[in-house]
Amino acid sequence: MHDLIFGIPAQYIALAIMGLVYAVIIAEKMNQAVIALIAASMAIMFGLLDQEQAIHAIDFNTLFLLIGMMVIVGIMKETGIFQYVAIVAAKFVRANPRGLLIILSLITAVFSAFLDNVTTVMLIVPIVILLTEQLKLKPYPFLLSQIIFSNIGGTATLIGDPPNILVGSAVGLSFTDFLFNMGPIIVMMLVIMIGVFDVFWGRHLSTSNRARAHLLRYEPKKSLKNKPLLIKSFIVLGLVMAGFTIGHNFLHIETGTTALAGAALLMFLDGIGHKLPEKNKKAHAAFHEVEWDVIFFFMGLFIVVASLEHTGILSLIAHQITVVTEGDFTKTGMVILWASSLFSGFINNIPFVVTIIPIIENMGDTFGHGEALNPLWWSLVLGACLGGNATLIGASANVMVASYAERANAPIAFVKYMIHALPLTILTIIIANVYLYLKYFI
Amino acid sequence: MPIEDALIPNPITINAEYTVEQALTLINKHQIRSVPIVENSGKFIGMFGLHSLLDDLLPMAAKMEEGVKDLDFVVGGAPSAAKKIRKLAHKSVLEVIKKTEEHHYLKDDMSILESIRRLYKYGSPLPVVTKELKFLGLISEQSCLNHLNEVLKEVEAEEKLNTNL
Repeated sequence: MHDLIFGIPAQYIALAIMGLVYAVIIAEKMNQAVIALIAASMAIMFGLLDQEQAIHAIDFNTLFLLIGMMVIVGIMKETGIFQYVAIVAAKFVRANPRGLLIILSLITAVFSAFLDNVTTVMLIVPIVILLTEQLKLKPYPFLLSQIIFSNIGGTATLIGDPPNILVGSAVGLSFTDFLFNMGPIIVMMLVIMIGVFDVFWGRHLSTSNRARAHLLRYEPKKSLKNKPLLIKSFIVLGLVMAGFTIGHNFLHIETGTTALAGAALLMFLDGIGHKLPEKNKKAHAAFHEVEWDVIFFFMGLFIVVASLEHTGILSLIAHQITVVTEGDFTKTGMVILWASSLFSGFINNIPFVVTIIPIIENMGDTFGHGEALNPLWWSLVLGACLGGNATLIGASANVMVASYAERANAPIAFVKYMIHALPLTILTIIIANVYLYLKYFI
Repeated sequence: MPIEDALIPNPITINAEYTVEQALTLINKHQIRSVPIVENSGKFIGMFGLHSLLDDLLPMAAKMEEGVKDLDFVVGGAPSAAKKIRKLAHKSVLEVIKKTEEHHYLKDDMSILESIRRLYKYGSPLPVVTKELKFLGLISEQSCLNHLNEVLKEVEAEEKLNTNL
């Protein structure tokens, strides 16, 4: 790479390209994947990095993990299992609105921990809208809780939220690392949030006995559509979880490989007993479940951020941050937590996380490499995931729930959402702050 | 006009002042599935049909895009659906009809084969309008086939004439 391109320092060009990506994302004038790819092409064409370096910059482990899980969930949702669980839960609380708010929130939190947050809300929110409609309840508190709990639940595991996948893959943190470090604090947060939701919304909810009786007549078993496929899906999901834990920790198989292998196995099992045209049709449909725009958005970002890294600007920023925090490890951790939550509250947290990963890696020169940096990674993960709750556009799951609310003629107002969600977000960040401080920084 | 000969002769129409109940009575009386709503000036407004009413009986969660795809587990839903019909009865037909998409119209200069394709794809009957949306009539599967039978007779007569020559 040359230091000057057309007489302009390469760092400025790299920054301008990244700035363009952010500007377009904030202005919401172009598809995010398209601008990321345009920016990546510009980075290569301006010579900030060559083709080989660009391909090398793409974290295929992250992409394989995303693709694999999208295929598995895409096949699994056809079995109706998610609807089944939601209806069984509604009957379990005897269709009591107060209990329903709690149990639907918990289901979303648990699903979000193991599935992508957007996928989770796409599976659960339609049934939430149906249940509130049947009980003649306003859907707002339920939809608000869906957003908050999906973002909190997603923080708990390696595969729960893209920032975790990115950090885990870049740093080599495993599924069990996430579960043991993030699990306890997330469980604690969920308990507190359930209390908050019950006090502010749950205990005020009421419905008629007639509406409840109607809901209690539901037959959840009827929503299970393809039992053989359900069994196959559970077997594959079990194997994938074993791969994430045992396979990763003892056999050193990367999570991306496990997820793609799981997807391939499930597609194979799903095709058994069918003729080739039908097998092809099924595989085609399964690959169709992959959100390719998300995958290409990631690809473009990896390249753009690598071009920034090549110019040396990211290590400069890392150095500046440690200067501001006076080389104090605790202060740096807190700055990362609050800055990443603030940032994630307003724009998509993925470009931020992709950019900050090499910055934190560069801080290794000051604080030591490898495990010594883990507290900073946990600060980033908690900030980036939980911060997404702050506004209606803070995370993709929020946007998806808002879109469902609109379709159900019960739109969520941006300001109203923020009035409720911002204090809740700050509360979770304070809890995260205390936890991080007590567990890692003293 | 290529599709003029395939139109239903003298179709029943209603105006925008009809209530759902009145329109349903008319539909039952004449044993039809849908009826065009036409302004007194002759401008086509939309189709009122049993199909659009079915849509109103479903819960919102099942109608919306990417919504609940299966309602088999909802047992005993008939009374609430029946009550919805009661609620709809006194509404104006305009409140119930869905926007007629452009591909649901047939234009007066459309070919017979395109009309058949649209009938096959979007159901029967379909309204035929001018560019200015003036209502010209309805075309149905049956009126279309009747027209083709007439054409067949003409073709056969011509063939007969040719062999005699």
